[in-house]
Amino acid sequence: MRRGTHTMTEHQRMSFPLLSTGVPGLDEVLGGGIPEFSFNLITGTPGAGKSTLAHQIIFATASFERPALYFTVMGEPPIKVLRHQQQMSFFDIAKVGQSIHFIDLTELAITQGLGPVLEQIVQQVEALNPRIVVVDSFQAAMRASGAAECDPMNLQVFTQRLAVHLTILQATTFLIGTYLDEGQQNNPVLTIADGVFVLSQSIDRNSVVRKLQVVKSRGHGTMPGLHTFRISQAGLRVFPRASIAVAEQHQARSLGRGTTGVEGLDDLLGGGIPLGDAVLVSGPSGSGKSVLAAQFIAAGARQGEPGVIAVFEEHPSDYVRRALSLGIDLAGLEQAGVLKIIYIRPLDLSPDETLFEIREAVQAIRAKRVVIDSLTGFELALAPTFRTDFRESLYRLVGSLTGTDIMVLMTMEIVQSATDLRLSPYVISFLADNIILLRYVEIAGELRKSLRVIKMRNSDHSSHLWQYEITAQGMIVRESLMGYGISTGTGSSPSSERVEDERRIYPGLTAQELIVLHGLIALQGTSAQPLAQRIGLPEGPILTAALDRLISLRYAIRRDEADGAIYWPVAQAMG
Amino acid sequence: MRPDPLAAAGERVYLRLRARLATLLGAAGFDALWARAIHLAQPTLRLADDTAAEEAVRAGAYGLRAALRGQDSAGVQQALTAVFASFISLLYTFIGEDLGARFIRQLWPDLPPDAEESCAEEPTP
Repeated sequence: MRRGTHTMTEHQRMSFPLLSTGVPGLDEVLGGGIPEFSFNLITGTPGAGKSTLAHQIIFATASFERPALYFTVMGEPPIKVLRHQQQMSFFDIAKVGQSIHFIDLTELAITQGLGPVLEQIVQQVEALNPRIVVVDSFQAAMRASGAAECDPMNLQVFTQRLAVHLTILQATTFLIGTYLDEGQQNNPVLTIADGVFVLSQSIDRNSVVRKLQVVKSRGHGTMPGLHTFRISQAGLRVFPRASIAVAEQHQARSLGRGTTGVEGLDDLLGGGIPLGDAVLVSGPSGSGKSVLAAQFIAAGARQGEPGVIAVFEEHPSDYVRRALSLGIDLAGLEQAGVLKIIYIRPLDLSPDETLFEIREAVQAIRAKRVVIDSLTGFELALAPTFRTDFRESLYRLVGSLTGTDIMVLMTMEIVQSATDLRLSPYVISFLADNIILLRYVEIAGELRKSLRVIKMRNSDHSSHLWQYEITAQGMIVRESLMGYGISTGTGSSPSSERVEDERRIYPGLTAQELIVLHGLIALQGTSAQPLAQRIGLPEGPILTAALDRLISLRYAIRRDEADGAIYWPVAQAMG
Repeated sequence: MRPDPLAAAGERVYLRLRARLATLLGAAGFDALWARAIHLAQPTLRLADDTAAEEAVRAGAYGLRAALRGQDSAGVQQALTAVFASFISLLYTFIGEDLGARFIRQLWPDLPPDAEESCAEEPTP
């Protein structure tokens, strides 16, 4: 190190004590809280929630020893503030006049200008030693104090002095100002303030969305971007933007798989759903997406993996009733504390709000499985302004869940087309590690349900089309539809005729067993693994069962060798 | 009590209320509330005429005393009761009885429980 220079080490660096705001979600956005003794500006459009935010902070932080002072300078008349804010549940009457003091300086500002206002603020702060000071509404005071006081230099001097006095008096200060438009970017308040919070509300069609942004935070890291918030009787609740960084943890996730709970489906997926994977189940109306989702949750619960279902389309009671008709007792699982059903249906949701609800439910029961049923309903529930960013929102939502080893199953309704193969109405396939496509197919004049595993990231999976049924016990995967020549979901006659021919030649075999037999004939002596690869069926109980049946019907033989079992066809290839 | 000392007591109550509540509500806010209280109490005030009522509003406590001049003690007592009851009732209407009573109790801590509303009936000298 050169002489005279000084490197500030981590140890030497002064850290800011942070003051919890008491506003749910806000501390997370602020990187832990508001730096103590900072001088902050809360600004925003009328009705954005500036005063409510300030009130919520003072009621959360004020104590008898370190009270809060709320100065009104040409802001909302105090009698109205007291009247309206009492409706909020955080408004504790016992604190008013004891640890929270409301002081109106409007008259002083009008008659004598900003100098005496500053003097009065300093005097009161010295006398009461507050932890928090609020000056509401700051800019209105500037305008009211006359042309001379509105001179930018005066404004700067006033703000500068206020900041110095209040910081030295160890108060954390919030100035409340009206909206700062582009023309006010040189406003000296912005230069002097340590922190600038902008609240806004945007209207898109019939929905109103409130957003908060920390535009400036001197010497302190905050969460960037626009964070949605709601105002209810409990006050503000901020929904921090879901962090994409969580998704990056994905690489370090655990090994292992979870069962889908659907008989025969795990084999097609190469053994089940990898932990921390997102699965997209696409299909037309009535194809059984929700049934699959319910079975997925129930199977997890049986294995000690609690689950969360976010329902967007139908009421949870209908959802539960429908699952019960298939023997899945979701209400019982809820009572047992291994399931939470979230019903979110307002039409002005933000993705972060949804994620917050899901996260809270996940944390409450330590869920390992999450179902979003459906993405179509989820998109509809979003405020229009978020629909344009639906893909990005989904990316953050899914990433933040799967990043913690949670398996996410999302359903998506699609319109089945005879000429087009689409997994979703928009390009969201990249969000899912695995995609299962449910479809209707017409075979020999009969409409049947089929599924195909379109994608399994880093997993061997079946590439065939499989028939499934929705029974009283739920979804069950039946036989492969290989050889039916189905590509778009309709039309199957030539291939089905061929299958029927083959069945006449090889009596007693199912279509699936025929496929296995054809594989054996083609390979002429093979172990199960190459056979599975050849016919696109993962090694597992389905393949083993088919081989056992071929052997029992003398269509194949098994020879145990040192490397394992080798299967030979007894039948001959058809000419 | 003779009418004059009674009116003087009313004046002190007014000044005490104003000193506390003007800080909270702003001077203009308090004065507006007082003017409204006088207006609402006017039918029972038995003031000499409209000019007296205007004076009571414009000049605050001193105006109140002037407006009550010439009345007998029963008349003064009735007028003061009506004005302060009207004022406190208005305060409760706007900021709620709990919070309003809290401020009144801060000014007169010795008030018996649930007696805030009657404080205007017998102003303490």
